[in-house]
This record gives sequence, structure tokens and C-alpha cells, in this order.
Amino acid sequence: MSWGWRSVIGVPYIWLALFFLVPFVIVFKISFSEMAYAIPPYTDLVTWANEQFTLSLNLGNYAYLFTDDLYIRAYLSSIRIAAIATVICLLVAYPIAYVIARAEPATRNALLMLVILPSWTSFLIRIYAWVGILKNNGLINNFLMWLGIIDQPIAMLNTEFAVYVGIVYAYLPFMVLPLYTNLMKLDNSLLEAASDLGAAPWKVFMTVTLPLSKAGIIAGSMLVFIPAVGEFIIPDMLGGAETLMIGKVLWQEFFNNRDWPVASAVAIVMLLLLLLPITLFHRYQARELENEGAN
Amino acid sequence: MTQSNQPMLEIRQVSKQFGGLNAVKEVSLSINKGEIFALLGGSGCGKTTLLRMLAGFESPSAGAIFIDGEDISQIPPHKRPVNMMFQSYALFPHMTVAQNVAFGLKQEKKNRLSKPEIAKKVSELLALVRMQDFAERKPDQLSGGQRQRVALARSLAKKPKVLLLDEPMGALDKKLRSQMQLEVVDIIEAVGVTCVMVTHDQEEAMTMANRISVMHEGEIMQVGTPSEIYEFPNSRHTAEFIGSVNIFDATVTQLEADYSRLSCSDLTVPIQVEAGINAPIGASLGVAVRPEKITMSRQQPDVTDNWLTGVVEDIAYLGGHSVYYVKLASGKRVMAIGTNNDRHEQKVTWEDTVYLHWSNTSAVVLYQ
Amino acid sequence: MGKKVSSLGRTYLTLGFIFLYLPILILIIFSFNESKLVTVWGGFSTKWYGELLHDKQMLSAAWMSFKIAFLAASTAVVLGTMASIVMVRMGQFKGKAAFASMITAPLVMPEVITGLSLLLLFVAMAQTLGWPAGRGMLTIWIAHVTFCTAFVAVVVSSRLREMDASLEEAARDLGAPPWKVFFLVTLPIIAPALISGWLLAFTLSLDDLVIASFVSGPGSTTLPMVVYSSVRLGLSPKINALATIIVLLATTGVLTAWWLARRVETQSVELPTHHS
Repeated sequence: MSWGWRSVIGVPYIWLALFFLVPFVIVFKISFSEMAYAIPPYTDLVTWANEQFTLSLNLGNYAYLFTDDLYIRAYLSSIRIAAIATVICLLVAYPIAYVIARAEPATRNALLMLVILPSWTSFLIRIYAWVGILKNNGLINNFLMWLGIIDQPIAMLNTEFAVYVGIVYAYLPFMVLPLYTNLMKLDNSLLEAASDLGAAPWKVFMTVTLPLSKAGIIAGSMLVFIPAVGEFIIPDMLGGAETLMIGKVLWQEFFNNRDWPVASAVAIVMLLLLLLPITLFHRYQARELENEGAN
Repeated sequence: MTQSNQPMLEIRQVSKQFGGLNAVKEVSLSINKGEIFALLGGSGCGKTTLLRMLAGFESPSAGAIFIDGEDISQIPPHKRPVNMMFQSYALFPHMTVAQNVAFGLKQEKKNRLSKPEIAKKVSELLALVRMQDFAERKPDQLSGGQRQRVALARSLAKKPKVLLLDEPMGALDKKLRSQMQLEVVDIIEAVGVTCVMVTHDQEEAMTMANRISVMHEGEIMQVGTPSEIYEFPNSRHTAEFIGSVNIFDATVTQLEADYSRLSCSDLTVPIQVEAGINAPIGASLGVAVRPEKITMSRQQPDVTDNWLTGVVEDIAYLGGHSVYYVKLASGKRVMAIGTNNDRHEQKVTWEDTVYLHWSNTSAVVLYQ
Repeated sequence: MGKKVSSLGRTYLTLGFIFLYLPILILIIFSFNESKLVTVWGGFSTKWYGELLHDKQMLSAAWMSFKIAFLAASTAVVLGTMASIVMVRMGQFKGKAAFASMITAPLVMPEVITGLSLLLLFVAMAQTLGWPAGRGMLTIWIAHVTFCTAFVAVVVSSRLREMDASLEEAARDLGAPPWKVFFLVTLPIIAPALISGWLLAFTLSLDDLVIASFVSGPGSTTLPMVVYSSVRLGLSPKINALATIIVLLATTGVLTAWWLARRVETQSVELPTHHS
């Protein structure tokens, strides 16, 4: 392999290895140390004293994670919330992707652009918008009270409901796009054949379209679920104290408690939990690459 | 057709493996200067792999390639004296026709040409392919046939020692194809460049090439001029691949100095071939008879050998001629061709009993 | 295609778009609100825009974010394009699968993990190598490049795969060495993808709160960080004004890019079909 090719592979490889992989190793290492009032605020793993190397692996952080049920509850609730939000997002996004995929080619591009456009504006600001909409004297409550439907504000902000709304809203384009790409590739003549053989439209959808869009469903779901598990901004701004999500816990552990080792341990366990979905996502990406190659 | 006798291109025992797959197996070919040489075969026969090795996009697993006496096997594509016209034409969409044709000339390092010189060469080349008026157009403004001509001009710009054509007519519709086949050959012969083309279309190979190599599963089955391959195929595969053919399974019964006889279960009389056979009596061989060599009649012909009788089962009317499928008593179907040169002639029709016969110089014995 | 967009489908699509755009619209409307409340209309006023433009802290944070985004996007485009070439044009080599996972993993990695891990890296590096000495614009830039490269790689790979590879072979055949092939043939053809990749990376960098919070230092506060701390104190129409400006800029950018892309596509080559 020529030196030219070597540098084209090498430069991104080294950058990512250094700034993406190595950090994980360091997080792993620090998850075994102890919090200290020092700069940096953690103890060394390896100490040299009296001609002796001492390797101290503090498993206390991990033990802490499993004994204080805050963390276990946070992990479980993060997975639960992310999973439910993903399903809702899928149900909302699928019809959108379907309708756009079946539209005229000219309108299709315009519609797609309209779906993507909001995600080019600030994520933070769009979540901020929902605070004003959902809070007790926010727009929805004021509107409903003005209509006379309710006379007491419904608590929507600082509840899990708000988190669902936030995740679905913020991640909708990420679900629509892979679904759309997949549905676009669907050969229309398959649907026509099924119809020709006597299947009613609903049947055609269930037996042909849906199974063939499986790859898109998986891709979109992983694109939403995985980051949603570790979300910080949405549970922080919309979820309130009641909603327990592990991303918020990690942030608080790091910024409020200044306990870097525990934060590291939280991160490692989160990574392990997400390993399976990440592998699934990667497998899908690899298969997409192969299919493109075959075409 | 001017050809000299020194081999311009020599392929020596070239093989190519992809993983466990043998795409090309020990192919050796010798191609003369100024020749138009076709690699003909179905998909998967290795012809495209071989072509790509000549261009330099694949390197041989074994063997060597010599151009004008120089071993080019390890030379990268951009340094070879070889240029290729791609199946999809591969015209650069962001450049004009003139820029496309000039591209190769601008890459020359040793004999740098000045801008006016390049412009002159470009207009000469465009004139050669009759595309002078399209110099400033972009590829997406051209028709398929026009793009082909630009691609041809571009690949001739650097006066390569060997020109490679990858399925040159593949992207054109049938009518345009026949016309362009002859046009492209005219241009190539006018320039005098040695040319290797790859095709799966036997008609294309027969029309365009001086010599053809029939390939199958990575190996060369036969090399020869179009008429040699058509009239004297050396194997069943080659006989069946080119044109239509009737093949009879026969056993050698008689060997003489200037003729031989074979017996076949499909015929009541022997097959006679006006040649010696390189096999002993009792050997099982195939005998190939092309449909156009068969004469069809309603009366039994006055010959002792080489005739049979059957019932017309199918007729394919093709305008200029018809193909008759005659079913024999043994169940075998034989193809014969009759030209429709007389409108009022009483035609043979379905269910008719007919007699088919051929001369003893018409059949070819197939040893493989 | 195109025959069966039923009225049910159209209704649903309209509802979907209302869902997507209503919050943004509300933000914009209330940026012109006379009163300080973000949810009760008190009259039309543009005073919040004035206040915004005089807010030194916000302006300097905006400038910082802009600088970082520009540099990060530009670097990410280079790295991402390199990565795409490796993924799409290179055959198998040892470690390609590992390379592929490293490229796509940042797409889904939760930001808190990326942020924490990068901070710990910078701290460790400062301890052992003395560099980076402090955290600031440099560390934010590195962090942003790292996750933006993945997104650029996805966009560019897709375009690279669509492109007819025989164009590159033709250029090589005509005498251009590989590097020339890239700059003369490949680059012009994938240029639209590079541009949209740059825009995507720019947006992601500009908008990042979590990672920047972890890896920034004194004097390198970014705009999202300022917005976040301001929002914690309470809602303010000033933020709405900022939001409106961002929406305006983003919309202009996206529409321009989309319009340009359409112009390029209508001029694109339709290669003839061929037997294989």
C-alpha cells in the first residue's frame, strides 16, 4: 500500500483512536480511583513508594452504583423512558415517512426538507420552546383555561410526559429519515403485484411494506433510543426532579458532586448497557454498505 | 485492413484469483499490431477481468503482460500506454466535451503540449468522430451515440499502443448498434491502433473483430477469425455459443483417407464427412451442422448419406427468412433455414413432412 | 408512485408539520412580546432584539461559538472525507471493521459520555504531556471535530457511493495519478455533499451544550452554555429573540443549500443503462 493511501487511512484513524477510543480507556481507569481534593480530583491508580509499585483498584464506585438504588433506578428508568419514547416516535414518524415516500417526486424533496429544517435550528432552543408551552401558566394550560375546558392547570412540565414529548419532538427527523430512505427503495411493483393477487391495501401494507421496511425501523429506532438513554438536556429542562435519567445523574455527579470517579463508573455501566443496541446499529450500517455495493 | 506481423500485445500465462474463485486461468494470447481482437463470452467467463488486467485496474495473480516488448504487468494504469473506452463511457459530467477529450493530453508529463497544441489535437479528434460542433456541450446534453463518440475520441487522444473497448455497444439500442459497429471499426482502422474489445454479443464480435477469442469459465476455448470460429468450431461450447447449430451425437464407423462415416441414432443413414477424423472407429463424437447448410425439400433427396426426414413442428417467421424446427422420429429437433425469396412459392408449413440434407463438406466434427 | 396520497395521509402530514413548527412559531411570535412574560401577549415590541444586541456576554459567546463551529466544520470535512474514501473506495484491509465502527459510533453515543471521556483525556494529557495546558477553545474544537467527523462521513459516503466509480478509473486510465484523480474528478462531483456535510457539522458544533460544558475552560464560554444558564434562571423574551435569529439564519442556510442542490441535480448526468 502506497504512502499516499496510508496517510489517508492514517490521519482519521489516529485522530479517532486518540480522541474517541483512548478517552474510553481513561474513563475506565478513573472509574477505579477515588475522589480526592486535588487537581485532578481523583487518586492515582499506581503509586510508587518505598521501592514498591502499588496498584489500587477501587471497586467502591461500582459497589456504590449497585447498592445505592438511585443508580439502578436511574438506569432502569432511562431505558424504560427511552424505549417508550422510541416506540411513540416510531408510530408518529412512520406515517410521515410513508406519505412522503409515496408523494410525487417534486413534492417529495420539498416535504423532506420541511421535516429536516427544524433540526437545523438549535436543539436547546426547541426544547426551551416546550417549557413555555407546557408549564402551568404556559400556552396550553392558558388556552384550555381560556376555553373553559379546565379551571386548574394540568401539570405537564416536570413530568415524564414532558420528557416523552421532548424526545419525540427532538428526534422525529432522525426517525423519519432512515424510514424514508428505506421506503423509497421499496419497489412499487411489489405492492402492485400483491394488489394484483388480491390483497386489500391494509393487507399489502402488513405483509409486504412493513416487513420490507424492517431495516429502516431498526436504524431509526437505534438512532433515537441510544442517545435518548443518555439524554441530559430534555430531562433537565422538561423532566424536573421527579424524572430520573442516567444522563442527568452523570452530569450532577460530575458538576454538582465533583465526584469524577463515580461519574466515570456511571458512564462505563451506561456504555455496557448500550453495547448491544450500538452493535445492532453498527451491524445495520455494515449491511447497508454491502447492499449498496451489490447494487 | 493493414496488419503487421510483430505481436503488439502478448499475454503470457496470465491467471487471476479472487479469494477462492479462479476468474482467469492461464490465458495466453498474442495480438498483432493494428488488429481488432475480441474477447467473446458469457458473463462470468473472465473476459472483463482480463481486460481490466490489460488496463491495470487488476494485477495478475500469475503470468505477465507485454506491450511492444515491454513488461507492463506491474505498471499502474496511469503510466501504461493503454487507454480504455468504458462501458458507461465515464465522461466527466463537470467538463465539456472538449475538456473531456483534452484531459488525457493535459496529464502528459514528458512531452508537455502547449495550450494551442492541445486545442488543435482536440479539434482533430472531434473531427475524426464527427463531433466538432459539440465541443462546448456537457455530457448530459448528448445522446447515447454522441457520448460514445466522445468517449472514443477521448481514449484515442494519447495515441495509445493498445485501445481497450469494454462492451462498446452495450449501452446503445439495436438500430444504432449496427450502424455504430461499422463506424467505430472505420475510425479505429483509420487511426491504425491495436484494439482489444470485450463483448458478450457474438454478432458484435463477428462484425467488428479481425480475430475472436471465445472464453468460457476463465479459459480460452478457441481463437480464430470470425469465419474460422463459425465454420470450424473446436468444441460443443463454441459451436453452440456462436450462431445456431444442430449437433448430432454419433459414433465413428468408417475411416478412409479422404472421407469418414459416422452413425447416429437420429438418422437412418450414415453421416459422411469429407475429411479424416482423428479418432478410432467406435469413438463417440459430436457432429455439428449449421442450419443454413441444410437444404429442405418435400421429396427424398437422391443421396446415400447426410439426409433425414421429419415433421415440421414450429416455424419462426423472421421476415427475411424463416427458421423451421423439424421433429425427427427419434424425438430430436433439427433447425433448418429457408429464405423467403419468393412470395408466391408454396411454403412448407406446420405438420408437413420434409426431407433435410446437407453436403459432406458442411458438417464439422467436434472432439470436445 | 405518487398516486396514493390519500386525504387521510395529507391530514396526518399536515398535523405532523403543525406539531413540528408550532413551537418554533410561538418562539418567534413571543420574541416580539412587549411584556417580559413569554406566555402572555402584552403588545408588539422589538426591544428584546435591542437588549440582545447589547448583551456583551451573549455577543462574545456567540462569536466564540461561531469561530469554533467554523474551524470544527472545516476540519471535520477534511477528516470525514478522508474517512469516506477509505470506507467506500478502499478494498478490505486489516482493521477496516474497527475503522468503520470508530467512524459510526459517535453518531449515536450519548453526549454526556463523549463529553466526560474527552475531558478526562485532556486532563490526563495535561498531567503527563503538559499539553493541552488548559481547557478552552482548542479543547472544544478537538471535541467537536471528533463527533462531527462521523456525520460528515455519513453524508459524503452516501454521495461517494452514488458516484460512478468508473469516472475515477477513466481518469487514471488517461494518465492522472491517484491524487490528481481526486482533485480533478472526484472532488468536483462530490462537492455538494462536502458542502452539506460542512453545514451539518457547523450546525452541530454551534448547537452543542453538553460536550462544550465538559471540555470548555475559563474564557471559552459558548453560546449554548450562556443560553442554558440564562434559561435556568427563568424564561425571557431575549432568548426568544436569539432563537428567532438562529431560526432565520438556519432557514436561510438550509433553503439556499437546498436550492443550490436542486440546480446541480437538474444538470446532473444520467448515465446510460448497461448490461452487466
